[in-house]
Parts: sequence; C-alpha cells; structure tokens
Amino acid sequence: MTGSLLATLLAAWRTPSGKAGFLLLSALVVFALLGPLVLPDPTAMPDLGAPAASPSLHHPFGTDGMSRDVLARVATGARISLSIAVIAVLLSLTIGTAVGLAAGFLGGVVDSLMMRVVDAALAVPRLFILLLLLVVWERMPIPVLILVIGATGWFGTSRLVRGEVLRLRSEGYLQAAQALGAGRLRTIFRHLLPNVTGVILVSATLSIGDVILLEAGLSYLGVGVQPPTPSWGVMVFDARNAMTTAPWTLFFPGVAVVVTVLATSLVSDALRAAFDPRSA
Amino acid sequence: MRVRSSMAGLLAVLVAASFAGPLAAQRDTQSGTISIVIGAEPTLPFPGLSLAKANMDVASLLFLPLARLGRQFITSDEKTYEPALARSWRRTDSLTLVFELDPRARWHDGKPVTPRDVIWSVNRSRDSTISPTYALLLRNIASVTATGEREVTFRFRQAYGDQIFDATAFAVPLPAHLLDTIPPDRLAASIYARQPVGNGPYRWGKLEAGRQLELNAVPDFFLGTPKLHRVVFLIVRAAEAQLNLVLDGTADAYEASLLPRQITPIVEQPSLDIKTQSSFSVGYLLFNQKAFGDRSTPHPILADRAVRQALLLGIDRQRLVRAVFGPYASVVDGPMGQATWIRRHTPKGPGYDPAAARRLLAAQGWRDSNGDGVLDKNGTKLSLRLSYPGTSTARVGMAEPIQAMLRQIGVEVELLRLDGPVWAERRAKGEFDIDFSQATLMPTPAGLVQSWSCASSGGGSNVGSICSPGFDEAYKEAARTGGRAAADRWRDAIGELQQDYPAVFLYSPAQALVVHRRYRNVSIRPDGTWTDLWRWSVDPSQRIARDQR
Amino acid sequence: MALVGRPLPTDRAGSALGGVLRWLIRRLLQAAATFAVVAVLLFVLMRLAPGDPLARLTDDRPVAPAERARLEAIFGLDQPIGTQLTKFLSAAARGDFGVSIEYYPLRVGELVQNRLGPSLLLGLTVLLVNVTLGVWLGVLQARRRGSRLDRWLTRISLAGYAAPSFWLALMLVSLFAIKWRILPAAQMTDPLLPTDAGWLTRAGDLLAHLVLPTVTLSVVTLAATMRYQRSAMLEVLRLDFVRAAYARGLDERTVIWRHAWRNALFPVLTLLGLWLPVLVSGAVFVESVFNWPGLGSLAAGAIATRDYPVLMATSLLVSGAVLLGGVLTDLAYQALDPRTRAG
Repeated sequence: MTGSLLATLLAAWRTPSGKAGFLLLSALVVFALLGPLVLPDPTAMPDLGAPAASPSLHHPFGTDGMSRDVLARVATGARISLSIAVIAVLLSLTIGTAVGLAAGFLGGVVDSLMMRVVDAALAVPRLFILLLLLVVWERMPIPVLILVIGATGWFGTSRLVRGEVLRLRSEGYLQAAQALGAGRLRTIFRHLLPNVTGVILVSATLSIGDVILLEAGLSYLGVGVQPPTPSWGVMVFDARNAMTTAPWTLFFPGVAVVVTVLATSLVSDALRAAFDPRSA
Repeated sequence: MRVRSSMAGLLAVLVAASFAGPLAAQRDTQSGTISIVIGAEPTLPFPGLSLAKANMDVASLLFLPLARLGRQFITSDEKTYEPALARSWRRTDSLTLVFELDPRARWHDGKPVTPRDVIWSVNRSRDSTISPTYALLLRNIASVTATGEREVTFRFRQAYGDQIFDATAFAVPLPAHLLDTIPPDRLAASIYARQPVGNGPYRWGKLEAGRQLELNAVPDFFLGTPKLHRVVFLIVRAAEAQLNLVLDGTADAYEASLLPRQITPIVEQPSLDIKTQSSFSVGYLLFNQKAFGDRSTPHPILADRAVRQALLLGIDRQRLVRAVFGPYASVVDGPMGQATWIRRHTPKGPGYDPAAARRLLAAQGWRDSNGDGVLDKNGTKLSLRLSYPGTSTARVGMAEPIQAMLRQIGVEVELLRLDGPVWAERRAKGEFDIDFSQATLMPTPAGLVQSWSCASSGGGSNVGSICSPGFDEAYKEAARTGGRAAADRWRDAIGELQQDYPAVFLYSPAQALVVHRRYRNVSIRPDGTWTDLWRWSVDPSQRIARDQR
Repeated sequence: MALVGRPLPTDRAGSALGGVLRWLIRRLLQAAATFAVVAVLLFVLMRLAPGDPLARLTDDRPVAPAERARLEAIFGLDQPIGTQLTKFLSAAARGDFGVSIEYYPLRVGELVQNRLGPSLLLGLTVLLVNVTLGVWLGVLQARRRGSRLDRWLTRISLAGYAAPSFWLALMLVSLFAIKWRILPAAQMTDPLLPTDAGWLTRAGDLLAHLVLPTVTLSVVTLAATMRYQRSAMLEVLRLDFVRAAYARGLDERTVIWRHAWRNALFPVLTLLGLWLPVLVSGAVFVESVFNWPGLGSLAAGAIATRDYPVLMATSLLVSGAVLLGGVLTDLAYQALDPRTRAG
C-alpha cells in the first residue's frame, strides 16, 4: 500500500500542475511554520495612530490602520486558517466517505435512511448549527471550532461518494469483485475505496476554500477565532472598508486564500490523474 | 480579462449615449436633486411610532414639531427655540405653556394644522398601552387643551427646566383628521402608513421596496419653498456598498458611519466634501458592578471602586481616540455627547497615569504572585472580559489597543467580539464584565436618569447596576432648575457620577456628512440629520443632469 | 467525476418510464417529509441560537422595559416556544410567514415577493453566462486535450474558483467602479434615471449594473462547468460513433457540435440541480456587496438582525430548493441507469 502511495505521489509530482501545486503548498506550509518566528509580532501596534502604510521594504505587505505588519498577520493567520482547513476537511472527508460507502454498498433501507438524514442536514444552513455553539461556549476554543466545522461539513461528500459507489455497482464492478471471492470489507477497502478517490479529492478541493471562508463568516458572528489572533477570513472582512484607502490590507489576505485553494486544486488534480489516468 | 473590459466599455458607451439626450434640454433655476444613502428601509416613517434611525430620518422631512431646539441645544431655555408649526409661545405661570400655531401651516392634503391635531397626538403618545417609551417621557404633562382657534395650552404636573423640550420633542403632531378613525394598534398596518400625509417641506413620493424612496418638495411650504425639488433616499445596507455608491457618484450625500481614517480619501476626491458637527453620541467602557450574568452578587473584581478607578487611569484615552478617530471625535469625561449643552460644564476627568493605576491596585492587595504579568489576589486573576459588537468599526479598532494598554498595568483583558444581536442580548442580561457601549442620547441631560440612577439599576438600560446616591440627589436638583442656571447643578451631578467611576468615558464621535460640493447652504443637525435639508440648494453653475426637474 | 457516463440510452428510457414515475412520486413524498422536519428543526434552532431580534428596532437608544414588552407582544415573542412553533406552522402552511421585525410593519410574503425577481434575474444571467462559456471552453479543452491551452484554461479557471466571492467583488468594484469609473458600484438600476427614459436606456442601465455581479459569480463558478464538460466530452470523443463520424470524413466542427457534444451535454445538465438553491437565494455576500435587491441580501440582513420571520421564510426557500435539487440529481442518476434505483 505504501509503495503504491509513493508511486502515486511520484506520478502526481511528474505532471506539470502537480509540480506547481506541490511547490506552492510546501511554500505555504513553510511560510506558516517559519514566518511567525522571524516576522514582527502580528498584534504589536508600534505606531498607534499612524495611517496604514503601503508596502515597502520594511513592511512588504504594508501595515494596517493600527500600524500592524500585514505580512506578519498573514503568516500567523496562515497557521490558523491552514490548520482549520486541513484538519476540518480531513475530518469531514473521513466521515463523509464512510457514510457514503456504507450507504452505497449496503443499499436498501440503510441507504434510504442515511440519505434522508443527509438531505435534511444539507437543507439546514450550517450557520444555524454553528451559531448554537455560542450558547455553550462564550469564547470557543479553536480545537472545538475545528471539530465542529469538520463534523458539519461531510454531508455533500457522502452524497458524492454514494453516487460513485452506485455507478460502480451499476457497471457490475462490485459483483465482479465479489464473484472472485472478495469479502465485504476487502471489497470496500481494496476495490471501492481506490475507485472513489477521485470524487473524494474533488470534494476536498471544494471544501478547503469553503472552510477558510466559513471560518471568516463565523469570526464575524463571534463564533470563530477571537482577536487579537488574526485569521485570513477576519482580515478580509475587516479590511472591506479600507478598500479605497489601504487596498493592500484587503488584497494580501485574499490572495493568500486564492493561493491556498489553487495549490490544493492543482495537487488534487495531479493526484486524481495519478490514480486514474483516464480522467486527465 | 480583455473580453471583460471591452464588454464593460461597450456598455458604458451605450449608457452614456442614452443619457446625453435630455440633459441639455431644459434649464430650471429653482430645482435640484439630492440622493442620500440610508442604512435601512424606512417602513414606518412617523414620529413617535418607531425609534429606528432610517424612519426618523425620513420622518423629519415629512413632519414638523411645534418648535425646534436652537442651535445651542439648550433644552431648558425657551427663548432659544426656533418656531416651526407654532409661530410663538409664552409662559403664563411655572406650570403652563401656551403655543400659538402658525396659521399658514397645512397638511399635505390641504387641510390646516389645528389644535385638535396637537391634542390628539400628545394624548396618543401619552397612552402607555400604545407607546410606553413616549408615555414615560411625557409623564410630566398633566393636560393639553385648545384655548383658542389656533392656541394650544400645555399644563405640567410640576415646575421643571425641560417643559418646553418635552412638549415639542416627544409629541410631533400627526394628522388627527386622517387617523382618529384608525384603531391605534392598526395604524402601522393601515393604508395611511403606506402613504404618510405630513406637514413638512417634503411630501411622500414613491417607495420602491428594498431600493429607494423618493420625496418631492411641497412648493407652497409655509416656511419657504424647498430649493431641492426632489430627495431620493437610497436604501443601502452594507457599509462597503454605502461608501462605494458615494465614491462612484450615484449618491450625493451620506451620513458616514465609517471612521475618518477610512473616509479621508473622500476629501481628496474633488467633487466631495466632508462636513462635521458634534453629536449626541457617546462611547464608553461600562463596568458591571454585579457578577457576570448574576445580578444578586457583587462583581468579584469590579465591585471595588478603586479597581474601577485604576482601570480608568490605565487607559490613555487621548491617544486611543486620536488613533481611531483622528480629529473627528472628542474625548469626553462624562456620559454625554459633545453636542449636549452642558458639556462645557462637565468636570475634567483624570489623565493617563499608569503608575498611579499600579499603585492603586497594589494598595488593594493585587500582586503578581506567579510572575505571569497578570495581577492576582487570593487566587483570583485580575482578568476581565471586554465585549463589543463586531460590526462597530470604532469599537473593533479600539478593543485591541485597550487590551494592550491594560496589560501594562497587569490587567488581563479577554476580547469578546460578538455578533450585534448577541452582544445586545448579553448586555441586557448583565452577561459581561466590561461592555463597550455606544449610545445616542437625547439632547437633554435629564435622560441620564435612565442609565445611571439607582432607581433604574439592573433594569432597562442601567445594565451595569450602577447606583450612586450622591448622583441621584444632585440629579434631582439639576432637573428641577430651569434656564441656563441649571448648568451649575448639572456640573455637580456629573461630578458625583465621576467619583463613582462607573465607566471609562471615551469619546463622542463627530457626526460626519459626506456630500457633493455642488450644494450650497449645507447644514446638518445632530438631533435629526436632514431637518434643514429644505434650505439647501444647488449652485446654479454646477448643476448636473439629475438636478433638472 | 461522478456523473460522467455513456451517451444517453434513449431507447431504454421508454420502457423504464413507468418505474421512474413511481420512483419519482415516492422520492418527492420523501422530500416533502424531510422538508417538514427541516422546517421544525430550523424554527427550533433559530430560537435557541443566541441574539436579540429586537435590538435593531431601537438602534442604540435606551428602551424602557414596557416598550420591550410591547414589541415582544407584537411579534409573539412573549409566548412559549411551543405555541410560537404551532402558530408558525399553521400560518406557514397557508403561505403566511407573518410580519417582519426589521421591516415592521411589512409582511414577509410581500418582502420575499419583491426580492425574488432581482434574485432570479441575476441567477439566470449568471447561469446563462456560466453554461455558454463553460460548455464552450470545456469542449475547447477536450479537443485540445493536454495542450498548453488546456492546461492554462484549467489553471485560470481554478484561480477564479479559488477566489472568495466577497473579496473578488470588492476587488472588481474598486477597479471598475471607483478607479476607472466605467461601471456602477452597486444597485440594480440607476436611482436617478429620468422617468421618461426609453426602454433602450433602461435596458442599458440594467445591463451595466448586471455586469460586475455577474462577472463575480461567473468567475467563481465557471471552473465547475468547464471541468464537467471537459471530462464528459473526453469520454464521448473516445466512443466508436465519434470515430466513425470522423472516418466518414465529416469536418471537425460538425463532429464535435452535432454528434459528440449532444451526448456529452447530459452530465452538465445534472449540474443544474446544484444551481437551484443559488437561483433562489442568490449569493448572500455578492448581493450584499452590490446592494442587489434580491433574496440573498434580504437573508444577509435577516441573519445580522435575527429577523426571525424573514429568516424562516428565506431559509425555507433555500431548503426547499436544496431538497428539490437533490431529487433532480437523483432523477438524473435514474435516467443514466435505472439499476441505481436504491432509495
């Protein structure tokens, strides 16, 4: 299994998109890990009252209206936003894949029931569920926030995975595997899972951007990351009125989101191509 | 990218060409249009029926009060008021005020304004089942009667300074001849509410739901013909869209709720101007003297007056307010906005003195026993939660510097940036340690009783359970006193309040108007932004297409 | 991708029609039941969530407790939540969602009615741009598979997809409306358009106002359509009848658009199921930035102020659309292959 995984990764790396994606993603991770160590304190307001300064050698991304270094804030925000994105998305992918596989494989009443629950869950705006948390936590700890975002984000994935399983089944793929004497679990893990990887990767790509922005919306409603900790989403929201005076405060955190989602998309494309050369 | 911009260019040309036609056609020297951004839809623009700002803004153009406060806003000085529906007024004794209605005053349907309208409206407002807020404000009025064809007499229950303010500010006349057949609780849903008939300089034009409201000038308005023939209110909710519409030229005027450091580039735009004016708003950090969410127990930290005093000394208010507001706000020492007439009589508060703050805390037994930079006492950390609404740019901007400043004196502040409705709910329930409040107050200092007196403690708007008997005593004395002589009494009352350190009074923001430069005679009022709009005009040499009739 | 399949087996669909119809009825009934559950769930969640719905009515002015009690009585907030729920459900069943709190005294039905048109206009415009451009580019990519053009189209569309719509909207406004002043910054129409303006002027004005919101929403959604179309087309191009068509000497244009594309269209159409919610709700953030008078900005305001009645009506609309979209997607699976009938 590890051998094939390594081979897949290597194959993915060899595609032009893959190289770009992997490099971008590693750059982001390095930036998030090392940036805050070498950059100024993102909460420091050394010159309170000075107007926001445009990008310069000293402050490559400029400063915001409170004289804080935007680059340092984007770097610290990267830690928060990336960890939320990665952990929450992994969590929701795991749950979503499990539910989708189970529903599609078992079929019948189980499938019907699970999908109706998913229907209902998809039809309730996620925001309402998350707002409820304010009743329980006055100031929500970040791990809880990540858990909850992950636990409420799997509905779409499960539907996609189930659809793919149904398709495979309709192509007689499962019957073939079982006719060859594969047990249930073996069928699921050796035959189904690798075949739904493409869908899962697409789902991951779609979710990463959503989750980063969801965190922003939540912070805005007081559920998410609280100041003085910066996150990309909050930076974008807070800078919306400074668009005309200090556009760099709006531009850079937004670009950080774009780069992250773009890098993930490129990597997932490359991985999908490596898993299933037909689709590339 | 290229596809997009050429498409946009084509459209722009198309639109520009279609406008060019009627522009030069006619010239009218007595016309002008203003488009004004407001933040919400005016669904009930009646004085006395709604407290929402959008409604009050529109109502101030449709309806006139009996008289208006003079420019100095001395609420207890009858001589400084300006005539409106009433041509004149006189005092017959300490309990009686007589207003004489202007014979030229007309409703928009042509009917004259009569004493009956005034009486009906005051009685409606005094009915506590219809409008509890106004009933409370008008509690000192004993009776209103017609004492002549155009004379209305107000009798008060006691002698006090603000009689004329109560009579004119809280019971703006509505057309009794149209309304007295509608049951009071049906008024809001009635047809009249959809097509208000007022008596002001502008009449109701057309409302396009969710988008805009057009008002038209009343040509024979008895105080003078409005110079702008058309007022268009653009209903724009999102702050960024409000600003953008002014910047792209769609809107002509906008009462800025943004911070000056964000609107400064507007000044650099040659077509726009910023006018400022002191306001009745005030922002302050309110200390909760009862425990977080429990009004039966004193607050473990903030019940101590010395701690509250130390927190005041530990905040560099001057620097904070300058940093966030630039020149567009004043540091205040009491709970009143800069436009309040007694502001000059407010005793000066103490300046920034972190050393004194540390000494005070040390004297109360607060020490940093574990070296983490935060003081503690008997195992309690000197840690407080500061809650504020995330939608208020000013408060968001100040919260983090406040946290940093208090850290210097060993106080840990946890920031709770909350969604507006959640913030309001928690505040009302007393679920806060320090609340970053901002209030727009009435012009009269008499309103202070609602938020700072022992009687109001823990209920209504005294959410911090503040009670200082010294203030209550002095307040009663001040409210009794009439004329300008009341100023000294108010000074005593505010002084008493300051001695209790119930809050850190921070700022009174300037009321800022962003307006196109082609208007002349521009003035706004803190007690009703657009009240004087009918006196504005367009400089004939700077007319643009939209100013044509 | 999930929905990429073979050309539509038209001949088989006829025999399976009765079965599909029965399946559809059952599926719709299930959706209706789910909808009812969701309605109750939404109502309860909303009341449990923190936030004072009356805060906005009085702005930042102090209010007497008696005034508060009066306002609570007007909106029925003083009653126990069970009573409120039954009252809401019985009224909602008759299509009455009550009176808005923020827009008091306007009724919710009237508000939603006013806002539906603009949302549909924007949604359909975006859909039109999205489908035409997405299909065209997707087919182009499939034809030039593996070329530099193919790769760059993918990357560019992905970058667009990656942009937060709210951020992208602000960026576009600051360039096109504020800096270069060639397009309006917000609103659906010019509020000061002369009353005697002709239809051409009005149409031009509306179009100009549509450009930026449409571009924003198209940029962030185009990638999905392109990718679906590209992979569907690739599948079809491999098939025998396409090869045969080439072999018969038909020119490429005819083969692609007459033969291949028609068969690759179906998977793209299933995307429409996902579009339904976007059509009715608009895009909350984008509508807000452009002050577009649609349901999205109405819903955004209702969340910000906890205007329960408006919030219920708009969320139920979206929920209904999501459920219906789910049924349509399943229907597409059915049409693809009746053997997937599982629910």
